[in-house]
Amino acid sequence: MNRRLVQWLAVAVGVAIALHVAIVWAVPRVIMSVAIKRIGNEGALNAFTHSPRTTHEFRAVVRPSPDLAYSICVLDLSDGPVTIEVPASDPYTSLALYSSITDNYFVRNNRQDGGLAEGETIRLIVGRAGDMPSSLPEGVEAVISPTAKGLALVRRVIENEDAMPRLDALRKSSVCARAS
Amino acid sequence: MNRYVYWASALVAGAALAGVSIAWAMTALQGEYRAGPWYTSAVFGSVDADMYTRARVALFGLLALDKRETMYYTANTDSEGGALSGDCTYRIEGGDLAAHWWSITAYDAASFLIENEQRVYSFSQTTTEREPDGSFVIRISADPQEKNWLPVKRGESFDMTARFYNPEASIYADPSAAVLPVIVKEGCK
Repeated sequence: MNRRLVQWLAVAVGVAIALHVAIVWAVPRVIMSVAIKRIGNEGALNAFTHSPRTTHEFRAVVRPSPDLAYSICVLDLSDGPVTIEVPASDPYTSLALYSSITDNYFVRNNRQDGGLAEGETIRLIVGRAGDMPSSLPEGVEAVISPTAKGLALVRRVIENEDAMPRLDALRKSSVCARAS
Repeated sequence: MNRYVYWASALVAGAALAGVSIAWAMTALQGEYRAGPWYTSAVFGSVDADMYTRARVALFGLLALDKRETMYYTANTDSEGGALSGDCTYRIEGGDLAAHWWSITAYDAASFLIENEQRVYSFSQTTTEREPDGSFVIRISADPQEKNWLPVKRGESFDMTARFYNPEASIYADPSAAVLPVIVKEGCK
């Protein structure tokens, strides 16, 4: 094989590998950042938005579940930690925290640690390492976020149509706010 | 050949190769475990995820939960391996999934819910009408069905996701051994 052809192949393969790695690396970061913008309650940070029941009209995130009532809080921890309070509902509630590169770094549901009764509350303080308060009120768990931006996502199973008013009342009493 | 054209062709070939290899990695490496027509990855959303899993989660299941919280199985073929089509009627037949709560949802080719007058997008543990022995049959079709009808669009492909909320430990310990409904093609128009 002549030398120029070997060089041509080396360049083509080198470009292919570099682009392949760069694009696969960038995809979750770009998509998560677009999703945070789309579902971020018109720019509101550190505050819950309670989504209406999911239908075919919902196109902010792929593969949404129509059986869940979602509450979303876009987290910006760059100015300090955030307090999250989520009252549980039967048969299933979970609070999940996501980093800005899609990793699910924390999750708590209503059935762990002996279980939470309807209305009992999951309480967290979420922040960057080094920003956390030295003492915490009783019943509050500290969670370190790997990135400054991220999402808190609450999922509640909607058992049937009649369940929504009850779930909405619990959703309205949820808290996502800068820790004082 | 002009020198610049020669080297530019190497760059273009490299870009094309990158595009093809990414498309292959995102689609061919769909999941690490198969249970009949259903496939899953036990690392969806978790901090163990590698770069390819993260990219696939972002493209096909953004904001997925960790395996202990939820396992997601997707099927884009019937149990015989034929691609799922809105021109056909399928019988999804099985029993309760091994989880605290479960649901099965149909999605269009863009991974969004499928528009229908009934606004029925899924069947779940609490909304599926059962047979006398506790098992269930869901029919997925563009044409109305007697009970447990999951509507899809004629002429369009679709796929389904089965969600296991709080799966039994055996499911994430051995995802290929999970028991999921069979998907039987009953006929096409």
